[in-house]
Amino acid sequence: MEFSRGEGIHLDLEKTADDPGPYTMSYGFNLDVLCESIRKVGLINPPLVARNQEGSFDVVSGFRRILALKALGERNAFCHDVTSALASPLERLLAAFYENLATRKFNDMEKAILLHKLQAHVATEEILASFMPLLSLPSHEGTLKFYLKLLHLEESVQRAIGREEISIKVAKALVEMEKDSQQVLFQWINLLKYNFNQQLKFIEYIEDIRIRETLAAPELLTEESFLKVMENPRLNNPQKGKAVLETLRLRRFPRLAQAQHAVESAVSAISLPREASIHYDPYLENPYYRLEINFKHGKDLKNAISRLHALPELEALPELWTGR
Amino acid sequence: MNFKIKKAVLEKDAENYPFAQRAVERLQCFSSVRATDGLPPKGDDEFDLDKETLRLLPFPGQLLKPCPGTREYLCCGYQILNIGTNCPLNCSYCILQAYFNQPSLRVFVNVEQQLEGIGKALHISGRKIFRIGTGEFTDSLALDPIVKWTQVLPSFVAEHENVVLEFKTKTVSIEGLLSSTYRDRIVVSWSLNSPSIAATEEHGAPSIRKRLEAARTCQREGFTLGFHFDPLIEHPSWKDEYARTIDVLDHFVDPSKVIWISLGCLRYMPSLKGVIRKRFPESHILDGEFVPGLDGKMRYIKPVRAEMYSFMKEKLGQWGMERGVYLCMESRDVWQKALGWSPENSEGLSDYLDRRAASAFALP
Repeated sequence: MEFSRGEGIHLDLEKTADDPGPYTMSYGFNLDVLCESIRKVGLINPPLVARNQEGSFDVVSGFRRILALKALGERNAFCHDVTSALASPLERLLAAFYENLATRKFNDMEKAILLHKLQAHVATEEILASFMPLLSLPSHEGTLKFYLKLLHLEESVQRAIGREEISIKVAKALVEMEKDSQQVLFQWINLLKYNFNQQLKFIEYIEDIRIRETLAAPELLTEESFLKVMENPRLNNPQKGKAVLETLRLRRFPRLAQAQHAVESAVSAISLPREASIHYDPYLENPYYRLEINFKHGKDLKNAISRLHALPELEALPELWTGR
Repeated sequence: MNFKIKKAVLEKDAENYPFAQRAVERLQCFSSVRATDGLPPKGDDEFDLDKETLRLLPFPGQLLKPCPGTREYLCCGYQILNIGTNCPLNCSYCILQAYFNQPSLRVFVNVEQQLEGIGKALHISGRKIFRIGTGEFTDSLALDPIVKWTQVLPSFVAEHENVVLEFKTKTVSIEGLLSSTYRDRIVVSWSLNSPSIAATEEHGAPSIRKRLEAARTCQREGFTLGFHFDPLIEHPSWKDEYARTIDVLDHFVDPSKVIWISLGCLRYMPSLKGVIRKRFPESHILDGEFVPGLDGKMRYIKPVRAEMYSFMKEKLGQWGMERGVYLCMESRDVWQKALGWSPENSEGLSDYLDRRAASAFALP
């Protein structure tokens, strides 16, 4: 495909729609920086537009620039009309795609939008073989299906994915859920401002509990134990987030949590010298405790050992898992 | 056979092997065979394991390798003869779902050629006993009606006095074995589970009763048997459920002719969880309390493992299996708690099983 810039025109911005139209794929962006740039140095690269069947113009490339100009109160914008130069919708879509590909990284919603638009013009096999690698995606039909499913998520969830506020792994879990669960889980993740790791833990615990107890997320999260955490005025938001995860963990791993608590209590009951600490495998799989002593010279070490030796409560430290 | 091969593919360089030619002759009655350029198939779906396609191909590497055990847990010192990968059965817990990055059932057609070199290596090694199995990366017998491993491997065993070969299966495809004249140093083993796990999680596998009927036939025909309760899965009424399987075992099998029974609780690589959730969304096998083990695999918390092993040991002892019960990839402290003794290390476990083999087959 050979690109020709086409004819220069002044596009009437008032007659140009605010939606991205059939060719552009920008999603979840912030216009502030672009507005500032245009304010300072003007529009350097004119957008590409093409006349549609209704006689108005669709933006082929430069959708964000058009929106920024509108936000700055401009009435028209110098653009290149590529109606003839890029005669088919596929050529226009590809022009938009390759222009973006060369200059920036797509977010996951943009990848989904592009794959969806490509589907109208390109066979699935070609999308898998040629386009998905360009988007750094594996050439799997399952991956393609997943990205297309993202477009069926609630707008608020799509926005969060576009802004990379929720991880793609969490999005994978969300697309497989009932709408009710999807919304509730997203609200909680949003409310508790979980980072990616916390989001994954949260979703994993809830999914495990749902399968084990046949209990959907909306029912689970309206249980008293969770409401209590959320209504506790003494907890700030991060503390609430951690408390919710801990409540879920206790529910998911009751025996492990109980054993961990017992060991933690036993260890913390020992008045260790300041320079000594006792460590153990948090999953209690390794049967051994580990003693760590910080010292500057041998005398310090001997001193710490003799103080440890004098501690009667060391003998009460139980074998892991037995409690004895 | 309880499964369908819809397509068979003779991959590049496979056609010259007699093993492949014989398999092709058997295949032509029910599926198509075509040569390919050997390129791996384009995966349409990362979760599609393409279990209906059989690929015949030579394996470029070493076919005999030690079991990839880890230092952290006791390993039995088994040798894996890699005759093929993937399996036509569809068990929800199968580790192979996340282990291999190539779909389809793959059968290696250069086994006969490699056996010659393997035999020489075993001969000069000086080691008394090699316990070799073919059931780690595939089911040992599921594809035997097509590929006839049982026509190739027993004669190899007969020629090498320090080899004990174990066919490990969940199927009832024993015709090949029965038609063979070899019995010495051959163990036929069945993987067993509770009746409900067999029915709900071991898709495509015969029932426990059918497996044990096949075991009885083999035992009557002079084969030494083994059993593997692996994976043991914590599920509602698991004690009653596993006791039921041992009752059926009691009905069909004489414990005095059983060489060994291994026990192993469900464990999986973390990446398998997503595969199981996707491929078997109704499965409850992940309900238990799993933690990262010292080898990186997810395992039940220790007291669960110890309780399950201890229960099984007691029941198997009551059945008559006082000796030969061992744990697969477990820690010494779990051995001690569950079975009341522990081999000091992997070499100790290997020696123990070698002695079982020596005793069962009157080896020096």
